[in-house]
Amino acid sequence: MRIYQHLKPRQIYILMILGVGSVVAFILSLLFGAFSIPVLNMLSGNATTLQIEILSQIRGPRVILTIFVGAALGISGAALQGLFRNPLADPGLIGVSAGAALGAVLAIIFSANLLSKISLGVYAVPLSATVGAGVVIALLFFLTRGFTQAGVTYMLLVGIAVNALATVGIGLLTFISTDSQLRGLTFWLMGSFGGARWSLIIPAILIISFAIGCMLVYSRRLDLMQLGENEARRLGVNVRRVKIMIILSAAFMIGASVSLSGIIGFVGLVVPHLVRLIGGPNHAYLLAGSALLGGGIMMLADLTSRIVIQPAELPVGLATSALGAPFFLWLVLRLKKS
Amino acid sequence: MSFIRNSEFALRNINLTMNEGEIFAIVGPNGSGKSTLMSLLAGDMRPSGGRIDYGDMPLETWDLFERAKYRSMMSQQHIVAYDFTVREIIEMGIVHAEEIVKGRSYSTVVNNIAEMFELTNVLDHSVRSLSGGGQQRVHFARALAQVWQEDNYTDSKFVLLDEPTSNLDLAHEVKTLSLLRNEVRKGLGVMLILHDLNLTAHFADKVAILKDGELVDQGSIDEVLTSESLSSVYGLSINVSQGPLRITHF
Repeated sequence: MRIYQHLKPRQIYILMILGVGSVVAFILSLLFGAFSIPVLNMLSGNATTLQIEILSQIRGPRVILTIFVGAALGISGAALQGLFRNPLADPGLIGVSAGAALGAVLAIIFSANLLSKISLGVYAVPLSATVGAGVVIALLFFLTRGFTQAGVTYMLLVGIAVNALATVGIGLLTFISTDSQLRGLTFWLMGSFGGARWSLIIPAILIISFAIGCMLVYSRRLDLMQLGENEARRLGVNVRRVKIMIILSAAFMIGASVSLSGIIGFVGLVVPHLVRLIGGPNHAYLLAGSALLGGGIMMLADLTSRIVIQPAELPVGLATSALGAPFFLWLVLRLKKS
Repeated sequence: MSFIRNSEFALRNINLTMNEGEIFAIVGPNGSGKSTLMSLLAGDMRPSGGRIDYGDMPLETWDLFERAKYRSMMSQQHIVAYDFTVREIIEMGIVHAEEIVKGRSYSTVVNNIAEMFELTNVLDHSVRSLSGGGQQRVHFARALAQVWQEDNYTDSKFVLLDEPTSNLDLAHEVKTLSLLRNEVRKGLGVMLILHDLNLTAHFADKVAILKDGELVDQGSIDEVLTSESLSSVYGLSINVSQGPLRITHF
């Protein structure tokens, strides 16, 4: 389907500014933290082994993961808000985050002791979270007969029900956990990039990159879907395929993100709104902008959470929710006015 | 062609043909199945019995994109999510740019169509900020943009319009239908649902009357729009006088 789409000059400038901003945030995130790394040392080649080690093995993968998770949350929020034609849609809403969380919590409670002795133990939590996300995706697929049944409202309601079930599971597991497990679990549920290692993040990066590519391909078709599903079909859009591709991409991306970073709220909801507000609603711009802004904001949030109470760390999910919730409230009030 | 909904006939044994270069009007009381008929013709649903052909091929054998090049449809209601501008909405209609634009600049085409519908001044306004009539003209423009050809229509092209002028004031209604008439002269085929019988008599070439899902009559204006058939369909004493044709019920 060859269809016309273009970015307005203004939108291109905005994307460029967001890109530059992300690069700045990236550099700041690498330089600052509990362990300070002076810029001049790095540039003049006088860095100590410890500094290089920290940069390449601890802070490097952490910042990279932060970008990808932020981009994944931002772009899938934008795509789902487009698909559901609902500005309040969010990756968490279709239940995938909760499914991944349940998987991760299961692993933390039951398998940590068991698996820490074998070499693959580090993969237990992310793998289990991915399986949890996968189960939710499969469940959604069957309950909505291939994402087609009865439109998007039905889909959202199924998502809410799945979310509630997963929350019950998490609650039960929390109840039976030991104190030390509870501590790890709480930290995980509030979101953190602390555990990033190259070996863990590379699979997630591949999944997220591929899913972002899939979504960008469908950007113009998402525009046409804003006229309604019937109208989009009449304009030649295979609505069912768009739904399947967007939901699967979002689910895999969110599964991969949540499995490594825990639950980070409000980024997927708030970022697309900001991007739409400054540049317009067409998806070629909106999806790219949300990925860039999501990545940038996430880096800054993580940087903040690392430096405010040094040498300790604030869970990054707390930072994003603390900022996101008031914004969300402002959004609701603004919607009510118009 | 028939269509069954909730185990009742919504449309029964409908048989009609629309051609390029003519305006085919569908009239009939509320709930007679006019919109359902149009939705079936657009390919939104499949008929329960019988079949619909585009050209000499069954509709099901056309892929969605080929259908979009062949016919466009304008529904009664449009709710656009998010704040798209008028220009963006018209652009959405141009789904096969290489055919319509043909070397001209893209914005020239959009500007031409906007001018036809008197939308030039509001091209960069949000479509949601326009009045009901303004929004209707935008979606009318989009439906036309989907199949529009600047010179004569060399390929078969059709537009299906479900009450396209229901929110327009008298002046815009007449202007819009006149510009449609002009496209039809260039070879476009049009089917539209109208409630105003005088307007139908003035602008349509052929007319079909639907009642309770059945085709009461179809043919030329003079043959179909008669006092007897209209009075029986609407259950109201309706008088049709000739030269010029005028339909009254007072």
